[in-house]
Amino acid sequence: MRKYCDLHLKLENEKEIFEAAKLIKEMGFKVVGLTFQPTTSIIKIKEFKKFFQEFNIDLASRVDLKPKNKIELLSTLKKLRRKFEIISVECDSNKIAVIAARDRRVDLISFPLNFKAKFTHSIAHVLIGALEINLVDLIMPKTSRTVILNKFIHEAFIAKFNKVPIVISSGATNLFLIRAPREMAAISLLFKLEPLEALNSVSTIPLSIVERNRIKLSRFYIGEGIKIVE
Amino acid sequence: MPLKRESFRYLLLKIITKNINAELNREKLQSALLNSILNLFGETGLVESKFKLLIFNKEKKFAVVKCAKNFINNFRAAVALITNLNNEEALIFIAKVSGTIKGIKKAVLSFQSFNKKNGSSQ
Repeated sequence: MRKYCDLHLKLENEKEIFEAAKLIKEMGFKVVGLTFQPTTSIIKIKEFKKFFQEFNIDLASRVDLKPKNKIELLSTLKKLRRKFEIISVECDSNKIAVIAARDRRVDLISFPLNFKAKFTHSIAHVLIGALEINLVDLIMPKTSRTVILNKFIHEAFIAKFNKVPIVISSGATNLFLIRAPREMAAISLLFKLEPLEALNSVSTIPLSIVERNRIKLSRFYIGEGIKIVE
Repeated sequence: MPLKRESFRYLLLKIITKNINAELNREKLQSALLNSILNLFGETGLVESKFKLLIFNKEKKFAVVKCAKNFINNFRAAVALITNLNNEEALIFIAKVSGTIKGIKKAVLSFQSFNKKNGSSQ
Protein backbone atom coordinates (compact mmCIF):
# COMPACT_ATOMS: atom_id res chain seq x y z
CA MET A 1 0.00 0.00 0.00
CA ARG A 2 1.18 3.49 -0.84
CA LYS A 3 2.41 5.70 1.99
CA TYR A 4 1.25 9.23 1.30
CA CYS A 5 3.30 12.20 2.33
CA ASP A 6 2.80 15.97 2.49
CA LEU A 7 6.14 17.60 3.03
CA HIS A 8 4.99 21.17 3.52
CA LEU A 9 2.70 22.23 6.34
CA LYS A 10 3.31 25.80 7.45
CA LEU A 11 0.99 25.82 10.44
CA GLU A 12 2.13 28.27 13.08
CA ASN A 13 -0.61 28.12 15.65
CA GLU A 14 0.06 25.24 18.09
CA LYS A 15 -3.63 24.58 18.64
CA GLU A 16 -4.13 24.30 14.90
CA ILE A 17 -1.24 21.84 14.63
CA PHE A 18 -2.91 19.56 17.15
CA GLU A 19 -6.21 19.74 15.25
CA ALA A 20 -4.37 19.13 11.98
CA ALA A 21 -2.91 15.84 13.26
CA LYS A 22 -6.40 14.34 13.55
CA LEU A 23 -7.42 15.60 10.11
CA ILE A 24 -4.19 14.44 8.46
CA LYS A 25 -4.72 10.96 9.85
CA GLU A 26 -8.29 10.89 8.53
CA MET A 27 -7.08 11.96 5.10
CA GLY A 28 -4.67 9.04 4.97
CA PHE A 29 -1.24 10.62 5.26
CA LYS A 30 1.53 8.60 6.90
CA VAL A 31 4.37 11.12 6.76
CA VAL A 32 4.11 14.87 7.17
CA GLY A 33 6.71 17.62 6.99
CA LEU A 34 6.09 20.50 9.39
CA THR A 35 7.92 23.79 8.94
CA PHE A 36 9.70 25.10 12.00
CA GLN A 37 11.50 28.36 12.62
CA PRO A 38 15.30 28.00 12.37
CA THR A 39 15.54 28.94 16.06
CA THR A 40 13.13 26.23 17.28
CA SER A 41 14.72 24.00 19.91
CA ILE A 42 15.28 20.30 19.26
CA ILE A 43 13.27 19.50 22.41
CA LYS A 44 10.21 21.23 20.97
CA ILE A 45 10.60 19.40 17.65
CA LYS A 46 10.77 16.10 19.56
CA GLU A 47 7.62 17.04 21.48
CA PHE A 48 5.73 17.57 18.23
CA LYS A 49 7.08 14.31 16.83
CA LYS A 50 5.84 12.46 19.90
CA PHE A 51 2.42 14.04 19.59
CA PHE A 52 2.08 13.11 15.92
CA GLN A 53 3.24 9.58 16.69
CA GLU A 54 0.14 9.15 18.88
CA PHE A 55 -1.86 9.51 15.66
CA ASN A 56 0.45 7.09 13.84
CA ILE A 57 1.90 9.90 11.74
CA ASP A 58 5.58 10.24 11.11
CA LEU A 59 6.62 13.90 11.45
CA ALA A 60 9.63 15.22 9.56
CA SER A 61 11.10 18.52 10.70
CA ARG A 62 11.57 21.05 7.96
CA VAL A 63 12.94 24.52 7.55
CA ASP A 64 12.24 26.97 4.74
CA LEU A 65 15.09 29.23 3.73
CA LYS A 66 14.64 32.46 1.83
CA PRO A 67 18.19 33.73 1.43
CA LYS A 68 19.00 37.11 -0.09
CA ASN A 69 22.48 36.19 -1.28
CA LYS A 70 24.93 33.33 -1.69
CA ILE A 71 26.76 33.93 1.61
CA GLU A 72 23.53 33.92 3.60
CA LEU A 73 22.41 30.69 1.94
CA LEU A 74 25.67 28.85 2.55
CA SER A 75 26.00 29.99 6.16
CA THR A 76 22.42 29.04 7.08
CA LEU A 77 22.82 25.69 5.35
CA LYS A 78 25.95 25.02 7.38
CA LYS A 79 24.13 25.94 10.59
CA LEU A 80 20.86 24.10 10.03
CA ARG A 81 21.63 21.00 7.95
CA ARG A 82 22.27 18.75 10.97
CA LYS A 83 19.22 20.07 12.83
CA PHE A 84 16.39 19.58 10.33
CA GLU A 85 15.39 16.59 8.22
CA ILE A 86 14.28 18.62 5.23
CA ILE A 87 15.72 21.86 3.94
CA SER A 88 13.85 23.81 1.32
CA VAL A 89 14.98 26.96 -0.45
CA GLU A 90 12.55 29.48 -1.85
CA CYS A 91 14.47 31.03 -4.73
CA ASP A 92 14.03 34.78 -5.04
CA SER A 93 16.53 35.13 -7.85
CA ASN A 94 18.04 32.93 -10.53
CA LYS A 95 21.49 33.29 -8.93
CA ILE A 96 20.24 31.85 -5.66
CA ALA A 97 18.36 29.13 -7.55
CA VAL A 98 21.52 27.93 -9.33
CA ILE A 99 23.52 27.83 -6.08
CA ALA A 100 20.72 26.04 -4.20
CA ALA A 101 20.26 23.58 -7.05
CA ARG A 102 23.96 22.65 -7.08
CA ASP A 103 24.20 22.21 -3.30
CA ARG A 104 23.52 18.65 -2.15
CA ARG A 105 22.46 19.91 1.29
CA VAL A 106 19.33 21.40 -0.28
CA ASP A 107 16.48 18.91 -0.61
CA LEU A 108 13.82 21.00 -2.28
CA ILE A 109 13.73 24.20 -4.26
CA SER A 110 10.62 26.17 -5.02
CA PHE A 111 9.83 29.31 -6.94
CA PRO A 112 7.55 31.95 -5.45
CA LEU A 113 4.79 33.66 -7.37
CA ASN A 114 6.57 37.00 -7.64
CA PHE A 115 8.23 35.72 -10.87
CA LYS A 116 11.64 37.20 -9.93
CA ALA A 117 13.13 33.79 -10.54
CA LYS A 118 12.09 31.19 -13.07
CA PHE A 119 12.70 27.45 -13.21
CA THR A 120 14.80 27.05 -16.34
CA HIS A 121 16.48 24.16 -18.14
CA SER A 122 19.89 25.34 -16.90
CA ILE A 123 18.71 25.19 -13.26
CA ALA A 124 16.98 21.84 -13.79
CA HIS A 125 20.14 20.45 -15.38
CA VAL A 126 22.24 21.06 -12.24
CA LEU A 127 19.52 20.37 -9.68
CA ILE A 128 20.52 17.63 -7.23
CA GLY A 129 17.41 17.76 -5.03
CA ALA A 130 13.83 18.03 -6.18
CA LEU A 131 11.44 20.68 -7.39
CA GLU A 132 8.60 21.48 -5.02
CA ILE A 133 5.19 22.68 -6.18
CA ASN A 134 3.04 24.20 -3.47
CA LEU A 135 -0.65 23.75 -4.21
CA VAL A 136 -1.65 26.53 -1.84
CA ASP A 137 -0.80 29.02 -4.59
CA LEU A 138 -3.44 27.40 -6.77
CA ILE A 139 -6.01 26.76 -4.04
CA MET A 140 -5.84 30.33 -2.72
CA PRO A 141 -4.74 32.24 -5.83
CA LYS A 142 -3.32 35.73 -5.30
CA THR A 143 -3.38 36.39 -9.03
CA SER A 144 -5.34 34.80 -11.83
CA ARG A 145 -5.56 31.01 -11.55
CA THR A 146 -4.67 30.63 -15.23
CA VAL A 147 -1.33 32.41 -14.67
CA ILE A 148 -0.49 30.10 -11.78
CA LEU A 149 -1.57 26.98 -13.69
CA ASN A 150 0.58 28.09 -16.61
CA LYS A 151 3.58 28.52 -14.30
CA PHE A 152 3.12 25.06 -12.80
CA ILE A 153 2.67 23.41 -16.21
CA HIS A 154 5.89 25.11 -17.38
CA GLU A 155 7.80 24.00 -14.28
CA ALA A 156 6.50 20.43 -14.50
CA PHE A 157 7.41 20.24 -18.18
CA ILE A 158 11.01 21.37 -17.55
CA ALA A 159 11.35 19.02 -14.59
CA LYS A 160 10.07 16.06 -16.61
CA PHE A 161 12.31 16.91 -19.55
CA ASN A 162 15.40 16.99 -17.31
CA LYS A 163 14.28 14.00 -15.22
CA VAL A 164 14.09 16.08 -12.06
CA PRO A 165 11.87 14.60 -9.32
CA ILE A 166 8.78 16.67 -8.53
CA VAL A 167 7.32 16.88 -5.05
CA ILE A 168 3.75 18.07 -4.72
CA SER A 169 2.96 19.59 -1.33
CA SER A 170 0.01 21.48 0.05
CA GLY A 171 2.00 24.35 1.61
CA ALA A 172 -0.98 24.83 3.91
CA THR A 173 -0.83 27.83 6.22
CA ASN A 174 -4.05 26.85 7.95
CA LEU A 175 -6.14 23.78 8.57
CA PHE A 176 -8.54 24.49 5.70
CA LEU A 177 -5.82 24.45 3.07
CA ILE A 178 -4.70 20.88 3.73
CA ARG A 179 -5.75 18.56 0.93
CA ALA A 180 -6.08 14.77 0.84
CA PRO A 181 -3.28 12.93 -1.01
CA ARG A 182 -5.45 11.66 -3.87
CA GLU A 183 -6.82 15.17 -4.39
CA MET A 184 -3.28 16.53 -4.50
CA ALA A 185 -2.38 13.95 -7.12
CA ALA A 186 -5.54 14.83 -9.07
CA ILE A 187 -4.61 18.52 -9.08
CA SER A 188 -1.14 17.67 -10.33
CA LEU A 189 -2.74 15.90 -13.30
CA LEU A 190 -3.69 19.41 -14.40
CA PHE A 191 0.07 20.10 -14.79
CA LYS A 192 0.21 17.37 -17.44
CA LEU A 193 1.80 14.78 -15.19
CA GLU A 194 1.02 11.14 -15.88
CA PRO A 195 -1.27 9.47 -13.27
CA LEU A 196 1.58 7.34 -11.90
CA GLU A 197 3.96 10.31 -11.77
CA ALA A 198 1.31 12.32 -9.93
CA LEU A 199 0.87 9.59 -7.33
CA ASN A 200 4.62 9.18 -6.93
CA SER A 201 5.05 12.90 -6.36
CA VAL A 202 2.87 12.67 -3.24
CA SER A 203 4.20 9.33 -2.02
CA THR A 204 7.44 7.64 -3.06
CA ILE A 205 9.47 10.72 -4.05
CA PRO A 206 8.94 12.74 -0.84
CA LEU A 207 9.28 9.57 1.25
CA SER A 208 12.62 8.72 -0.32
CA ILE A 209 13.88 12.24 0.50
CA VAL A 210 12.91 11.86 4.16
CA GLU A 211 14.38 8.36 4.42
CA ARG A 212 17.64 9.40 2.71
CA ASN A 213 18.07 12.35 5.05
CA ARG A 214 17.31 10.29 8.15
CA ILE A 215 20.06 7.87 7.18
CA LYS A 216 22.43 10.81 6.66
CA LEU A 217 21.53 12.33 10.03
CA SER A 218 21.97 9.06 11.94
CA ARG A 219 25.14 8.59 14.00
CA PHE A 220 26.07 5.51 11.95
CA TYR A 221 26.48 7.49 8.74
CA ILE A 222 30.02 8.43 7.74
CA GLY A 223 29.81 9.36 4.10
CA GLU A 224 28.13 8.28 0.90
CA GLY A 225 28.17 4.48 0.88
CA ILE A 226 29.98 4.27 4.23
CA LYS A 227 28.32 3.57 7.57
CA ILE A 228 29.27 2.10 10.93
CA VAL A 229 28.03 -1.47 11.34
CA GLU A 230 27.46 -2.58 14.92
CA MET B 1 -24.72 -5.10 -30.93
CA PRO B 2 -24.51 -4.81 -27.15
CA LEU B 3 -24.23 -1.27 -25.82
CA LYS B 4 -21.66 -0.55 -23.17
CA ARG B 5 -23.33 0.69 -20.03
CA GLU B 6 -22.04 3.92 -18.58
CA SER B 7 -20.25 3.39 -15.29
CA PHE B 8 -20.26 5.75 -12.37
CA ARG B 9 -18.44 6.29 -9.13
CA TYR B 10 -20.13 7.22 -5.87
CA LEU B 11 -18.18 9.51 -3.57
CA LEU B 12 -18.58 10.26 0.10
CA LEU B 13 -17.65 13.89 0.73
CA LYS B 14 -16.85 15.16 4.18
CA ILE B 15 -17.35 18.85 4.84
CA ILE B 16 -15.51 20.78 7.54
CA THR B 17 -16.37 24.42 8.15
CA LYS B 18 -14.51 26.95 10.24
CA ASN B 19 -17.65 27.85 12.11
CA ILE B 20 -19.03 24.59 13.50
CA ASN B 21 -22.56 26.04 13.67
CA ALA B 22 -22.45 27.31 10.08
CA GLU B 23 -25.68 26.79 8.16
CA LEU B 24 -25.15 24.54 5.17
CA ASN B 25 -27.72 23.55 2.65
CA ARG B 26 -27.97 21.25 -0.31
CA GLU B 27 -28.25 24.05 -2.90
CA LYS B 28 -25.14 25.86 -1.69
CA LEU B 29 -23.05 22.69 -1.81
CA GLN B 30 -24.38 21.76 -5.22
CA SER B 31 -23.68 25.21 -6.67
CA ALA B 32 -20.17 25.24 -5.13
CA LEU B 33 -19.37 21.90 -6.76
CA LEU B 34 -20.94 22.90 -10.08
CA ASN B 35 -19.09 26.22 -10.19
CA SER B 36 -15.79 24.58 -9.39
CA ILE B 37 -16.19 22.05 -12.22
CA LEU B 38 -17.40 24.80 -14.56
CA ASN B 39 -14.43 27.07 -13.76
CA LEU B 40 -11.85 24.34 -14.20
CA PHE B 41 -13.22 22.25 -17.07
CA GLY B 42 -15.85 24.40 -18.73
CA GLU B 43 -19.31 23.46 -19.89
CA THR B 44 -18.21 20.35 -21.78
CA GLY B 45 -16.47 19.16 -18.63
CA LEU B 46 -19.61 19.72 -16.62
CA VAL B 47 -21.62 17.65 -19.10
CA GLU B 48 -18.99 14.91 -19.13
CA SER B 49 -18.94 14.75 -15.35
CA LYS B 50 -22.60 13.61 -15.13
CA PHE B 51 -22.41 14.90 -11.61
CA LYS B 52 -25.36 14.52 -9.26
CA LEU B 53 -25.71 15.21 -5.57
CA LEU B 54 -27.53 12.21 -4.11
CA ILE B 55 -27.44 12.57 -0.34
CA PHE B 56 -26.74 15.57 1.83
CA ASN B 57 -26.71 15.44 5.60
CA LYS B 58 -26.75 18.87 7.20
CA GLU B 59 -26.13 17.70 10.77
CA LYS B 60 -23.33 15.23 10.13
CA LYS B 61 -21.91 17.40 7.34
CA PHE B 62 -21.41 14.80 4.69
CA ALA B 63 -22.69 14.29 1.18
CA VAL B 64 -22.82 11.51 -1.39
CA VAL B 65 -22.33 12.41 -5.03
CA LYS B 66 -22.30 10.44 -8.23
CA CYS B 67 -20.01 11.18 -11.16
CA ALA B 68 -18.82 9.50 -14.35
CA LYS B 69 -16.01 6.99 -13.81
CA ASN B 70 -13.67 8.59 -16.34
CA PHE B 71 -14.19 12.02 -14.76
CA ILE B 72 -13.22 10.98 -11.23
CA ASN B 73 -9.75 12.57 -11.23
CA ASN B 74 -11.10 15.83 -12.63
CA PHE B 75 -13.83 15.78 -10.01
CA ARG B 76 -11.23 15.29 -7.28
CA ALA B 77 -9.30 18.32 -8.57
CA ALA B 78 -12.47 20.42 -8.70
CA VAL B 79 -13.40 19.45 -5.12
CA ALA B 80 -9.90 20.24 -3.91
CA LEU B 81 -10.08 23.78 -5.25
CA ILE B 82 -13.18 24.69 -3.25
CA THR B 83 -12.30 26.94 -0.31
CA ASN B 84 -15.62 28.57 0.51
CA LEU B 85 -19.11 27.33 1.22
CA ASN B 86 -21.83 29.86 1.86
CA ASN B 87 -19.15 32.56 2.41
CA GLU B 88 -17.59 30.45 5.16
CA GLU B 89 -14.09 29.05 5.00
CA ALA B 90 -14.58 25.34 4.38
CA LEU B 91 -12.76 22.18 3.47
CA ILE B 92 -14.32 19.39 1.44
CA PHE B 93 -12.51 16.13 1.05
CA ILE B 94 -13.36 12.77 -0.45
CA ALA B 95 -13.51 10.20 2.33
CA LYS B 96 -14.50 7.21 0.23
CA VAL B 97 -15.03 6.25 -3.41
CA SER B 98 -17.15 3.26 -4.35
CA GLY B 99 -18.39 1.65 -7.53
CA THR B 100 -21.82 0.89 -6.08
CA ILE B 101 -24.32 2.85 -4.06
CA LYS B 102 -24.45 -0.10 -1.65
CA GLY B 103 -20.74 0.26 -0.93
CA ILE B 104 -21.02 3.96 -0.25
CA LYS B 105 -24.02 3.44 2.05
CA LYS B 106 -21.92 0.99 4.06
CA ALA B 107 -19.22 3.66 4.33
CA VAL B 108 -21.81 6.24 5.40
CA LEU B 109 -22.98 3.95 8.22
CA SER B 110 -19.44 3.32 9.46
CA PHE B 111 -18.71 7.04 9.15
CA GLN B 112 -21.73 7.85 11.34
CA SER B 113 -20.70 5.31 13.98
CA PHE B 114 -17.14 6.73 13.90
CA ASN B 115 -18.57 10.19 14.61
CA LYS B 116 -20.73 8.85 17.46
CA LYS B 117 -17.75 7.12 19.06
CA ASN B 118 -15.59 10.23 18.86
CA GLY B 119 -18.46 12.53 19.76
CA SER B 120 -17.44 14.94 17.02
CA SER B 121 -19.91 17.44 15.70
CA GLN B 122 -18.32 17.59 12.25
